[in-house]
Order: sequence, then C-alpha cells, then structure tokens
Amino acid sequence: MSEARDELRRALREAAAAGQGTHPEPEELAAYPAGELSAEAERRLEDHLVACPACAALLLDLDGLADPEFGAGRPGATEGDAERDAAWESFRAQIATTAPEPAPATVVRGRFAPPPAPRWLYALAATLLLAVGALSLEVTSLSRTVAELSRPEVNAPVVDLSQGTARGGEAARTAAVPAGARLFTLVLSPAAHPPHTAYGVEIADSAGRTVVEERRLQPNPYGSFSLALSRRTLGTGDYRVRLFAIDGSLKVPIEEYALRVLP
Amino acid sequence: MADPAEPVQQIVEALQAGTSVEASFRRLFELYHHRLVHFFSRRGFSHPDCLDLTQETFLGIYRGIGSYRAEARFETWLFKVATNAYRKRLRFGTADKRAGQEVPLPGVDEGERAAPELPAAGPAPGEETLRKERSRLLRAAVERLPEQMRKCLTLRIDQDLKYREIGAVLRLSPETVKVHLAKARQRLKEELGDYFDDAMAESDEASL
Repeated sequence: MSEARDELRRALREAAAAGQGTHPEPEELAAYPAGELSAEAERRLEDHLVACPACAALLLDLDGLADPEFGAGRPGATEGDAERDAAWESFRAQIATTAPEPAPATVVRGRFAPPPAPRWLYALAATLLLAVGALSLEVTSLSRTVAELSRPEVNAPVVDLSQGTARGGEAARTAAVPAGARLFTLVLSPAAHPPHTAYGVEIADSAGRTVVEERRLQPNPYGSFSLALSRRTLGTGDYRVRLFAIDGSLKVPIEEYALRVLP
Repeated sequence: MADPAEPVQQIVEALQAGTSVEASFRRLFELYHHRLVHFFSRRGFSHPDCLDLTQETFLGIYRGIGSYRAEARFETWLFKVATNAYRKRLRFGTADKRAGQEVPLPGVDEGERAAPELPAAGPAPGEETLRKERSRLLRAAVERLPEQMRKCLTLRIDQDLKYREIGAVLRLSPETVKVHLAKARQRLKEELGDYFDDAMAESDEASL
C-alpha cells in the first residue's frame, strides 16, 4: 500500500468522520434500500455509512441473506450440511420447550362492511343515551308539577297564624294546614310592633332546617302578611314560621308561629 | 433437502398457521443456516460463535414468527433479527472470548487500536514539513469535492468497496459511481498533481 494512498485514505476518513453520528437501528438500515426513509434520515444514514465500514458491510449483507449462494464459497462450507443437521437437532431440542407467538387473528370483512368504530365512540354513545333518558324523566316530572300547579284550586284554605309566641309570652298554638290542600295561604298577623321598611319570613322544619325564606314581604293595610304556598314546598310535618323585620343587615324577630301540615 | 424454488412465504404461512411446524422450520433452517453463519463470520466472530449466533437468530425467528408481516421481505426480517443478535453480543462483550479473538466494535478505527508506535528514525525535518503541507492541501481538496463524489471516493479508497457495492450503499448505479470516481480523480489531479493519481489508479483495478 503506497504512502500516497494512506494519506488519501486518512484525509477522506477525517472528512467523513464529522457525519458519522450514531449507529442506525436494524430497522432503519433495512428501510433504506427500499426508499422508505425521509430525505433527512436518508442523508444522515448515508453520511454514517460512508464513515462506518461496519454498518456499510451490514447493509451489503442485507441482500446477501436473500442470495442462496451467500457464503457458499466460504472455508468450511463443504462441511455445512453435517454441521447444519447437528445444529438442527440441537435447535429442535431447544424449541421443544418454547412455544412460538401465535399469529394475530385475521379479521375478514364483508365487501361493504364499515371499519370498526373506536371504543371511545361506543362510550360516548352510551353516555349520551343515559343523559337523554335522565332528561326525559326530569321533563316528565316537571310537566306533572306544572299541570298540578296550574289546576285551579277551589276554596284553597287560608291558615290564620295569629297565635304566635309574641302574644303575652304564651307558647305558640299550632295552626294546621288541612289534609288534602294542595295550595294554601298563610296569614301572619303579628302583635303590634314598631314599623319597619322591610319584612321577611323563614319557615324551618322539625329538624331546624330552613325550607322557605322570603325577604320581600309587605304588610297589608291591617298590618298582616300573606304568603301563598303549595304542599310541594311544605310537605306533611311540623314547622316553625318566623316573621322578622329587616334592619340593614340585621334580622329583627317579630313573632314566631307553629304550623303543622296534615297529610 | 429444501426445495430452493419453494417460496419462503409458503413456509412462513404454514408456520404461522401452526401446521407442520417442525417440518416447516426445518425447511427454513436448510435455506438460511449457512447464509446466517456466513453473515456472522463476516462480522469477525469465531466459527463456534457464528453457530451460536445463528442458533440465537433462529430462536428469535421461531418465537416471533407470529409478528412477522408478509408485506416485508422475509430476508429483511431475518436481517433485523440477526443484526439485533449481533449487536447484543457485541454489547455484552462475550464474542470470541472462547476463541481469544478480538472483534472490533463498529466505528472503531483499527489505527487507534494499534500498539503505540516505537520511536523510530523519523523523516528529516524538511520532509516532515513538506508532508504536513501536502496533507493540508489534500484535506482542503477533498473537502471541496462535491458530496456524492467524495462519498464514492471514501467508500472506494477507505472501505475498498467495488463499484456495485458503492452503488448499493449510496443507492446509485455502478455506472454513476464510476463517473463520480473518474471526476474525483481528475479534480484531485488538477489540484494536487500526479502524487495521488497513482494511489487512485490502484483503486481502479478490480473495482467492478
């Protein structure tokens, strides 16, 4: 080998070294001859192959594996058959305990069969179906309520709450909403009290939970307050009705009444 | 003996279908055993290691036959499995220890692995200066070559590949490779004179 050739080789190798990069994966090497890489990946791989004799030799052997004559002339090739048969016996013993991976099932579709929908689409459809069902029930229930409340009530009872706690310090007498009344009017007639500009009422159930609160009550010319309610708002049970005046942010108690809604 | 005309696809289909697995695999063994042994021997492995790696590759094929897709050429898949076995062996450094033979890692320059040079009677100072200047000019001329031309020249001079092989590496026809090399030789001769022309002439012999 001449000195000039060595120098030339060294110069070429140095120039190629800059583009060497990392060794490509076998998949990338295999995809290159088929033109399946992007232009950028192809260029990167070519730069590497020029700088890396080992990878260039690997690439050349890709075609070699498809050639029945590959390695036919190598030393010892004539002993190949006996050697291969011995290797086969050893291999056969090895695979006797190893199962191959099953082939994935092949799906045969009809000519016009649509492609399978993704799972999330099924989940979305099921959710929408449930939502539509729930909404239908809600609409039905509201329709019944509207119909019930729109029906005229003849002789809707008026419940007079005039025996509150403020009268002479006695315990409030329980007023009752008659059984079967769908709509009723409470008339709160408090004892004399200093005038205020705003009034309100709270109705609490037997557990002390406020079930009605109205802050825009105005007294009639006789100093009483009217409050129209339905059985839907106040179901069967005992309640405390508290009337108060609103003084800024303060609630000033005026009178408290006991009320029972009969079944 | 396997019928060489038997399409490997039929053998693979039989394996994937699970019909006559042993007989089908035996046919694959007959078709590809010696090719794989040669594939590994070209990577510098000792013969026992080549047989071992071939066995490992067949085991990989046997285990993964279900995942092979017929769209790809069988040999391409075989290549991937074999290359993975080869690189795995290099990574774990067990290659050739039994044979006591050293296998170079890809990309490692043989020159860098050589023993340190012993002090020797070097060139005269003037000669050394001349050599350095020549190398500088050569490097500059090489870098001025068009990319494909330089790549062809590197594969020819550094890797000693034939026109056909250079064409396979760069996806060019052998004729195009020949033209690139002739032009590269011409350009270097114009820039550097006859000194490197002889070196390139050597490379033209038996290059097809």
